[in-house]
Amino acid sequence: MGHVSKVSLLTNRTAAAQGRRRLSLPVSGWFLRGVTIFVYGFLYLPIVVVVIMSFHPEVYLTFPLPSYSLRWYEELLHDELMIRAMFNSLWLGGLTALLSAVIGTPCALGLVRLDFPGKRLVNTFVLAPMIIPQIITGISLLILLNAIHIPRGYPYLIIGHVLLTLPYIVVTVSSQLYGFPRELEEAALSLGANELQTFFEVTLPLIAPSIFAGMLFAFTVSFQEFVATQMWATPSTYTLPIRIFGRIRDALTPEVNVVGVLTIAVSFGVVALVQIIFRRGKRGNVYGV
Amino acid sequence: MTTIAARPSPMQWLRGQPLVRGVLLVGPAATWLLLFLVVPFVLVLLYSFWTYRLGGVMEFTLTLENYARFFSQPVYSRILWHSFSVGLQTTALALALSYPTAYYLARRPSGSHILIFLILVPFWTSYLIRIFSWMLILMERGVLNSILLGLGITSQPIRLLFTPLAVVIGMTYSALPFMILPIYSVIRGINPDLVQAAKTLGANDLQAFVEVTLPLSMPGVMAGSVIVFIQGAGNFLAPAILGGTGADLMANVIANRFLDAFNWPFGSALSIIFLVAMMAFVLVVRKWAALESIYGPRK
Amino acid sequence: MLIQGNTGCYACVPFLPSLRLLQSYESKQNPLPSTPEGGEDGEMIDVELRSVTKKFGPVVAAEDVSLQVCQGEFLTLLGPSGCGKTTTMRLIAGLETPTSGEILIREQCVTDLPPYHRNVSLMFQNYALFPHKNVFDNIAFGLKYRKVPGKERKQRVKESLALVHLPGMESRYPRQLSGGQQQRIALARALVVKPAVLLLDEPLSNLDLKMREKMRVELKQIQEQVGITFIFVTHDQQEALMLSDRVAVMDEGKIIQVGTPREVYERPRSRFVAEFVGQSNFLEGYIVDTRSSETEVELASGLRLSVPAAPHLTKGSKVAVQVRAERVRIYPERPLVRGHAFAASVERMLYIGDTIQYLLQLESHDLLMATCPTTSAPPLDRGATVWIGFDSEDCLVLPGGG
Repeated sequence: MGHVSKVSLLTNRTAAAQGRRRLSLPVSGWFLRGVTIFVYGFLYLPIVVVVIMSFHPEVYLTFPLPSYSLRWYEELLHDELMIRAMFNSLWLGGLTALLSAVIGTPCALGLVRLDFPGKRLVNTFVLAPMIIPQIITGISLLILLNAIHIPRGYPYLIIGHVLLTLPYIVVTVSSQLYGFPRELEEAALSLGANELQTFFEVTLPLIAPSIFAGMLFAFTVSFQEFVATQMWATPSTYTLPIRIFGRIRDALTPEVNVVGVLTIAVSFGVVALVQIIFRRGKRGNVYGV
Repeated sequence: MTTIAARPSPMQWLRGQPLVRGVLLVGPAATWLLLFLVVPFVLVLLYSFWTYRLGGVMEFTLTLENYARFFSQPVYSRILWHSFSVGLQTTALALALSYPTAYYLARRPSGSHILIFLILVPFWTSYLIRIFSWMLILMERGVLNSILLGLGITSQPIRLLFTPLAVVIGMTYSALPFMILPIYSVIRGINPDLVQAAKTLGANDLQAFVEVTLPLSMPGVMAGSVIVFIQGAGNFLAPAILGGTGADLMANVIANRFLDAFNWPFGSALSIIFLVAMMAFVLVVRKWAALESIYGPRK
Repeated sequence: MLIQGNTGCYACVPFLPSLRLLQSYESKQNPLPSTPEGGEDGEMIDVELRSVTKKFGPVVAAEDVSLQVCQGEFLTLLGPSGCGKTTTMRLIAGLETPTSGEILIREQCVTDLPPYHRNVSLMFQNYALFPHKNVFDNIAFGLKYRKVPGKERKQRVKESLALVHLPGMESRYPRQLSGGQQQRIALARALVVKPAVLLLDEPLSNLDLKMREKMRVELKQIQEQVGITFIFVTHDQQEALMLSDRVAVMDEGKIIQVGTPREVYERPRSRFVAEFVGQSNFLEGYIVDTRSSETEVELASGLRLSVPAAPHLTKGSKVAVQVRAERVRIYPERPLVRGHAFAASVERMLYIGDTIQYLLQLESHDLLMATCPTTSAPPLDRGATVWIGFDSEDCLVLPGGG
């Protein structure tokens, strides 16, 4: 590789100009653009395929489609088990989001604002569920709850999903808290509000967007969680991903596409909501808090 | 208007006790983690030393046979090794695709927010569904083969599904956002004046990139790589759905021990071995990478 | 009229006789004019700090700070970054608790009280208006927590908006206002609760120059109108001199000197103060002779200067002679004046618009800076030979060398 000589500014300015003309980059703008476009295509291909395939009329899926039909959409409406799974996942996701927010928001506050012994330890462990392979999280909780004789099912699911989504809430709220202008709270304190009043009147309204966004993230993660969930569910308490996986394993797949389209719609909706919240949040104040 | 408190109220007493406030705020989360992450982990360790009797019964006698089994039966070490190798392949492929993308996005003067948003969107749709979709794409009568045959590029359908390649593709696919985002953030945070300074001092575009941007982007690369590697090596769904039989990685084997074989002690031992191996690997690489970055920019 | 320190600290009333007693040295033969600065209404001390120290771990942010601020006074804490002025302000506000020492507001000990139990208000550099509340709710915030009934609240908000010349803004939101307007709303919010003291933390630093100059004047006018004690923190010495009744110069956590702007400028107690406020020349040397009316200093270059008597400094001590740049006059030829006159050549000329700054080198190779108004003479070229002169009385002998 060339050694950059750092001589006087004057002589090397002309050398640099010449260099740029002489040496053509192996990595040009077109290459970058090309890879980027490929990556985006790569990312969206499966989503597009699922949507297209959901309109396939046959049981045995081929490409291209012989015709378009809503057959499987109708089938889904009658598929009680699948619908029940969907509802399970929905309310489980909602409950998880709520619990996670209640536990995670104070945790974020404590981690960002305070200093106490063991803080670094907590910091590391809070992120752990996001990094440790979910299979490990799944089996370890299974072992614990089994050892204290709690039967598998909803307790496992709720506890486990809160565990898995906690990091998302803490990270989201923390990142907004780091840049939070403390002067707002100091102003409130000097004007007569005590710490609790200041928190509810000043801090909370301003970090609400990130709390809500974290809740939406938590919901999404819970909604699509499979690997650990399979350790915790039972034939009577199951979530949507578990049903889907079962169908894939049994090679009865056409309806799965329709379910896929629905989950994609739900996810798109969630992400759009997050964007709207943050857009509104940014408009609502001077600091972009 | 001025009030003087006769004795400190609970609120004021709290002011001077950062430890108490810390415990109150962080307590619930810390307890949750302790009870449901740390304690179970200790139990897993314990279980790995217990004996398993046929029929799903566990005997609470300490033994090393689970660990011995791992080392004596080569199939397990092979799977562990395979998991790591797949993880590395995924990391390399994801890096190759992500770095240019992240670089391109980070240097755009405008519109990068929307583009980053577009990268995140697939991430929030069900991973399971998307992996399944890859089945539809890669299978013999699937989307890819149909297109290739239709365009006349191939005359016979390529066998893609249920091959190791399919697993890597599936894993790389899920890894992309995790690699793109950290690299993007770091590159975006690099002061553009630095590159300008290098150029005025005589470096051309490529040299400026290698001397300035590349070393400074290393933290993002390392962060992304570690996450992607762990996800890859510990992946369950990609091998389960796209790999077919015989494509099992550690996660699949562990799950199998717990769900089908009910051999919890052995499953626990496998989990411990897997975690330890992974942590060791990551630590070693981090140390090595940290040393690298000290010498990197200084050429 | 006089509150003497039984605390042994700097008294707050800037009247002559006591001040002369407290000051450890005085040199000028022109006494200070006897008109007091600022508007004290009586002897009430609004804020008192007694030997306040604040440590953050091993770092001492404020050390043994003692200060008395009179009712209605405009006091500025002046100093470079890290000198402890902001820490001192935050201690008065109650946002920090002192490691040792006492803080009194209106003669009541508030050292252990939180900010919401002290009757203080704050103004910040970045305004700190609540972005999710409109102007009315921002200003009424303090009134709400003081349990002021609704109707009176409305009236007082209206009055405070009129005070800052922004009537009718109640329903606007901070994001819709300019920087200057936001700062005024912040002032309204701080004053509407009628605090004992208003603490201002470099409130004008985020404004552009013209707005800054405008706000300075307004701030001073409002303070005089309302009569509330202001404690102003800044690193801008011009601002401090312009606005204050008294200035407290701080460095490294300690108060170095407290006095009226004129005192701090014309009679700095230490080299630090002399250097920080205004442009000074420092000529280093040793005292070679001390007489009753004057002292003689020999500079390193061998040049000898007669300066006003400094009885507290002994022969042989190392000193620095301070001469303000604007006191150094330039003559085309040797002047017939009583004071010092030296031949010099122009090393550098900086044209600043209303003044010209010269760097001149004497035959002895000493360098002196001189500031002249542009109206006095056209700019001189580099290399021009001139004569410079300054009076003995314009010299100040300060202890210590470099």
